[in-house]
Amino acid sequence: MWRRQSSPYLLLLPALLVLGVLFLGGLAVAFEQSLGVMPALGRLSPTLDYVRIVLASREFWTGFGLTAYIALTATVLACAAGLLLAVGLAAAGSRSDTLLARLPLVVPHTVAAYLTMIWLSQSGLLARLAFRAGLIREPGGFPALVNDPYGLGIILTYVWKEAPFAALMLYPPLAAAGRGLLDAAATLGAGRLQRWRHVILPLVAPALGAVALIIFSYTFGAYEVPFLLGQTYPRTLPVAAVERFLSPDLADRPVAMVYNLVITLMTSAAVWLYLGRLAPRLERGKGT
Amino acid sequence: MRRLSLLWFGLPLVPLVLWSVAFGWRWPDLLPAAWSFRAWHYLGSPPAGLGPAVAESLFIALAVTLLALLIGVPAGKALGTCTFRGRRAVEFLFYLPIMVPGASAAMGLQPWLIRLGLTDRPAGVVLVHLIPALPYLIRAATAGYAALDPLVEQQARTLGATPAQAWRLVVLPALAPALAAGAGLVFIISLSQYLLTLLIGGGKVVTLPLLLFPFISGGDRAIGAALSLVFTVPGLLLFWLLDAWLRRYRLEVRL
Repeated sequence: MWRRQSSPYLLLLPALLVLGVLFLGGLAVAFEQSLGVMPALGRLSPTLDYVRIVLASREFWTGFGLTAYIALTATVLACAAGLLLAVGLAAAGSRSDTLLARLPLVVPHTVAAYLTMIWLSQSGLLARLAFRAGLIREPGGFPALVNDPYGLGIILTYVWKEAPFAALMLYPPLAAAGRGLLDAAATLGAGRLQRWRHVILPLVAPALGAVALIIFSYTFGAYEVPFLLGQTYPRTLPVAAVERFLSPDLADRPVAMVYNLVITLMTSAAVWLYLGRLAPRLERGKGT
Repeated sequence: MRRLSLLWFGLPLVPLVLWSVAFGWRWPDLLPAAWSFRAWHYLGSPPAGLGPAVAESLFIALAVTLLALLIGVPAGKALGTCTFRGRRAVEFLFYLPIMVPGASAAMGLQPWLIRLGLTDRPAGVVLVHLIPALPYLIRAATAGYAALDPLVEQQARTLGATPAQAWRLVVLPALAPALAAGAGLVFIISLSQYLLTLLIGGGKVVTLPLLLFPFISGGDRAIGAALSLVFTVPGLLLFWLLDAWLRRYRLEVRL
């Protein structure tokens, strides 16, 4: 029997084609090139040499460590700041605040990195304030927060950008529960700590997990901020990948693709965790 | 709370304005010693290339938005209204580009796009911008369709509306807020792409972020600040307008 309703597969076809060809296709070619297969250069037989070279190199593991450290630290700090902000917003319950909190979301990452330079570099505004306050005597007396070995400028930029994002994702479950729940807990004698442990955290837990995965995968794979605010060595994996890719030496290309592969694996693991574990719980949360 | 958020989110942007009109701003001055519109004059002059970069950015972002609407709305309808086999796999594919960097795919695509003659041209850049942008539109359209009562379209048809009329007069107005939110997001995402534009545009497609980047990585501070403002303000305006409009529908713009 023919129904006049069009088949879902037909409706999905254009999007499947576009994302299938552009995204999966692009990743497939990247995978192929990581095995050294480049038909344009007459190299057709796959080899694991490049994977071995990369996995045996110090540069890769230092870069991996740096990338994971920056992404993890930024994720934890942004989530913590976002949670505090969300609780504050839910308590205040005013719309203009949530609008204001969205400001950093619209500021492009490149501009956010620029703001970090203006505020936090050793001749930046905070250093000048510290000088006025008599805390330091020269720019060098201010701690290095930009192009520093610990990636502090990068992490702070991400926290400023992503904390409001986290807050906006955590706000709905808190707002839905309303002030009443917290007041009730307080009336029943729950202390501040108990209210956090037994009321606030269970309310936001699924959303918090989702937000953490989104921020982690973004900060793990992003290029602009670590390029602008990082050191020349070690570099994060995305920065190293782009540099190898743009190198005129074609032997660098498979190496760049191995880097890309690692980035893709790490971030798709986050998607898998998100969709497999957290999205169903989020959906259920909405239904109740 | 309001004061705190103003301090934390608004204050960091203030020095951008000051830098853009500063005539030198030396250590350890807290304010520029002298003022000048030099940076803005430079940006207004043809060698700065601001006009063409703005036009290129807007053209690409509009093209990406239109394509994303054309491709994403049907997909949203399928996901929002139908149950079908393979749904989880489809959702996984549509979610991947939100979290997996599109740059990795773009680096793989590059040799093919060269062969097709699509590199160094806006067309290729539009294609790769779709990778990070399209999933957001699909999500928005899915939410829009899921909230739509499937019976209203049938009712319109029963009352004698043609399929086109039912879509235009009943379905589209109901979907409009969700689609506007999605389209606004897509527009902003395309506008702010640096790496994808560089990789596929080969430095020949110069959008605003490409114009801005050299100034940030160590150029003239005043010009960098002025350009940053030019780069940030349109997104801000769009966001604010969308928010004001969507508030009537109790929808929120999600990033």
